[in-house]
Amino acid sequence: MFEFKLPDLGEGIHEGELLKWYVKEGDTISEDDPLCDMETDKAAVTIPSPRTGVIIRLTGNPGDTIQVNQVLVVIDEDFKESSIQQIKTIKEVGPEPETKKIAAPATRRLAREMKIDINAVTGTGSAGKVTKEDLEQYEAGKKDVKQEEPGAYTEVSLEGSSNNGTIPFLEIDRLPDYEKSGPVEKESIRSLRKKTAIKTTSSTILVPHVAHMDECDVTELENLRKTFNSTKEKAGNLTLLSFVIKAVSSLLKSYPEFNAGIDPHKMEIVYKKYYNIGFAADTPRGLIVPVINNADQKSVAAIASHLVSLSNKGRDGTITAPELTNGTFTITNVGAIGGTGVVPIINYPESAILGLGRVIKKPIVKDDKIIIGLMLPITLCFDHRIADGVRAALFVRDLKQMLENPMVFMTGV
Amino acid sequence: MVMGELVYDVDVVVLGGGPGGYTAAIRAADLGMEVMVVESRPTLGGVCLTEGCIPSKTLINAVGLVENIKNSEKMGLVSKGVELDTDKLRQWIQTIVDNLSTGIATLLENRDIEVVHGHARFIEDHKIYVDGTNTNIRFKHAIIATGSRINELPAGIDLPLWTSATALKLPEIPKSLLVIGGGYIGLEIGQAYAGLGSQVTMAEYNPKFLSGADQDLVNVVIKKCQEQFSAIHTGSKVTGIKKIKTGYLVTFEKNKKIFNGEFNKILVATGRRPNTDDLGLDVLGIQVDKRGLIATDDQCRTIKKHIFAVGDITKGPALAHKASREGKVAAEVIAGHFSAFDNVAVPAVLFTNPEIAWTGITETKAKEKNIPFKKGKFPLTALGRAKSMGKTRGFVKIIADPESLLILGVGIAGEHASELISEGTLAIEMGATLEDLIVTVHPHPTFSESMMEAAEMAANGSVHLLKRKDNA
Repeated sequence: MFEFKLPDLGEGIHEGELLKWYVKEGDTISEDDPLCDMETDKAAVTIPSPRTGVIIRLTGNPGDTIQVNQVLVVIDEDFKESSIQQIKTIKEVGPEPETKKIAAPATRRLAREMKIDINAVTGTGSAGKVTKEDLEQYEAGKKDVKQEEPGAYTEVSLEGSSNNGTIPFLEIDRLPDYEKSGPVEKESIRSLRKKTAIKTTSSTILVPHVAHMDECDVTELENLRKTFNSTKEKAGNLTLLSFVIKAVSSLLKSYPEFNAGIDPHKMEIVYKKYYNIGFAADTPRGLIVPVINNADQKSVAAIASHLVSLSNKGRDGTITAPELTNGTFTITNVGAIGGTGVVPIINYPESAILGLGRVIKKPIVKDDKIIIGLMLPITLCFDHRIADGVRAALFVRDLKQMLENPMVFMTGV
Repeated sequence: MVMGELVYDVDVVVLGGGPGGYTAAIRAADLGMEVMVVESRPTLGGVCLTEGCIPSKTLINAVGLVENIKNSEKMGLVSKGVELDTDKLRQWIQTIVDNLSTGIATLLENRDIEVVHGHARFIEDHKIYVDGTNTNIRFKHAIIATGSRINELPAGIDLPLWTSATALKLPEIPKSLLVIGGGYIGLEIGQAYAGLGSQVTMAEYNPKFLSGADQDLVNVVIKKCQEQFSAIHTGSKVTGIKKIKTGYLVTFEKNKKIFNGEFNKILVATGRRPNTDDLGLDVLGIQVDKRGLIATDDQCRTIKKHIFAVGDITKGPALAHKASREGKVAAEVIAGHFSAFDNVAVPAVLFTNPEIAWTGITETKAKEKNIPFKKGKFPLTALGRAKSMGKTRGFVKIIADPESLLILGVGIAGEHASELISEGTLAIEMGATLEDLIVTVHPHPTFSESMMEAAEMAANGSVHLLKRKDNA
């Protein structure tokens, strides 16, 4: 009998959502056959069977969240008819876990009613006892299990106001009955939609955002880009974004506050000495942010080719969790579609994000003459807890200079 | 359907009217279900009421009174030869038993719970047949609470030896009585008969009495037994029993040495076995383990979702209070409540002289499993109330986690141990720490103070002892 536990899916990933089973209890499965699809907050993966045998027990239903190291499936490699019944019995009457949380009987009953595994809850009572309040806290945020994990974001639930008493005026009104007014369609919030919702909500509530905007004349940059691309030396074309990533990654070294994060529990600002630039990418599944690691050490061409391959992987769903993890700064480029500007939300727990608008020709004044400039609207949104407006203004000014004088910055780095 | 056959349709059928069964039935009925009970005995209450806890404790209480009176001379209580009228005592025990059994019947009646007397067997997934009454009961859920029975004598012995059930009926007070089996039943009844005037000899196969229990608790009783009994043979095997004119000639073997003894009566108290062998469980596909126990989850559910099992037929101690708690859980789960038998501590109580009781983890178990603990032990000799009553044998000990100071276990030997233990059980269930017990005001002068003192001992030392003792 083999108990297959959800394997480590990559750095910082503790759980995944079960999307679908390829098998049902009683099915025979061969090693490496697909077992199930799991979606983490980074990517969707198909998990293959580690053994050949008969599926004795599946532990979850699609939509369930499975923790890493939780038993996912029990496979009997030496199958006999009675095994299914046996394993069920063993599971149900098996020895209790040794490390049981301490809680009063009524609290234990409440946990069952709330469908919470009390052993997963951090107790704040004397001697680590789990209290009713701990259960409510856990239900509201599942906060305490994640708090300790570096890099993990904190879920903030707005349901139930008791634990959010710290935010005055925060009330969630019940939605009107839209169906009375006309036909509606309902869709449950799951997977990436849910992750995005959680992340953006956390970010807007936790981070005081400030936006600083400007426009860069990218005429010269465009010329350079076109010249480069026309040589066709490289397989892929350079994009505007690849230049911006290059420029930002080198500029961040002078602006550590925008490549940082806040640890509110320790009252510390963490400055990262590595420059992994994430870029927002639209995929059929929703928004993902692939990361170009150590962008400061890569050439524009290398960045461009990474952009292409990561975008492709994102689109066809083969992107892996590590490729979506450990970003330090994010750039979102909705300009490709349109818009005179954008005020993005910081990709929490990063400290800043750069939004790019659409490049359009505009009349600009240069040397007291009106000329046509190819203008790129840029916005830096930053965490005001870490930095003040002056630094953002300086950052944007420097970035503008770099992008407007690409030859200088390209030769400088 | 055969002519004259009765068919009932109910939500819940309970097999067995003992502490597990009748409690389950009452709770299920109170939760709005239609319930029937099948009981093979003519009266309700199971072993506990008819031939176990209740009659034995009634007997032990009477014997204890006799001893108390005899021991009260130094307090100035003058009595000239206390006599015990066994006929009257027998009647008194029966009155208590009948009274309680009628009480249970009334409780069931009040709730329109029908009781069928006969032996029930599963004949289909949702149907039982009750032998002797020609009754079929179709049910949505069943709770098996059929309890346990006294182990049969080894094959080949066809002698009218006593069981605990016989002894509790007080057929006579034998001049000499051999008790085979030094478990709690053997000890309790052995001491009771010693108090009634029998010369009692105890034979236990194991080198220790109650090997699962902490020996410091057991020793308090054994010390008393040594005063009361003619002989105690531990590590001794009974190799032969021969009927003789005056009773029995018994051959023992201890350390490869053979010796004999003559006794008027022999009480065999060598354990109990679950009543799962004739229930038609195979029809349901429910299997029992090698001890005859049915596997259940913490909701008391068997592998069949609609069949529950509670009490002596499931794993865990074969104790009435465990059965009745499980009975409630099963009924509540059937009613859709989120109940579970998630109890941390099930107290064990021995109505020996002195009483001993323990709850939570024993010191023996903690050592065996390498669970770190600190211990506080408070002797009753230092307790005012114990002194005033002349009942200073024994002690209270508390075992706590050395880091969190959570109370892990309590062991008590002494007067009222059976009552005192509940404070320990509550403390453990609630996740109390030593401090919680220490700062709780305990009334003075009572035995309950010993709990507080033991907790203080475990934490840092009691004010009622001369000096701090190291926690050993």
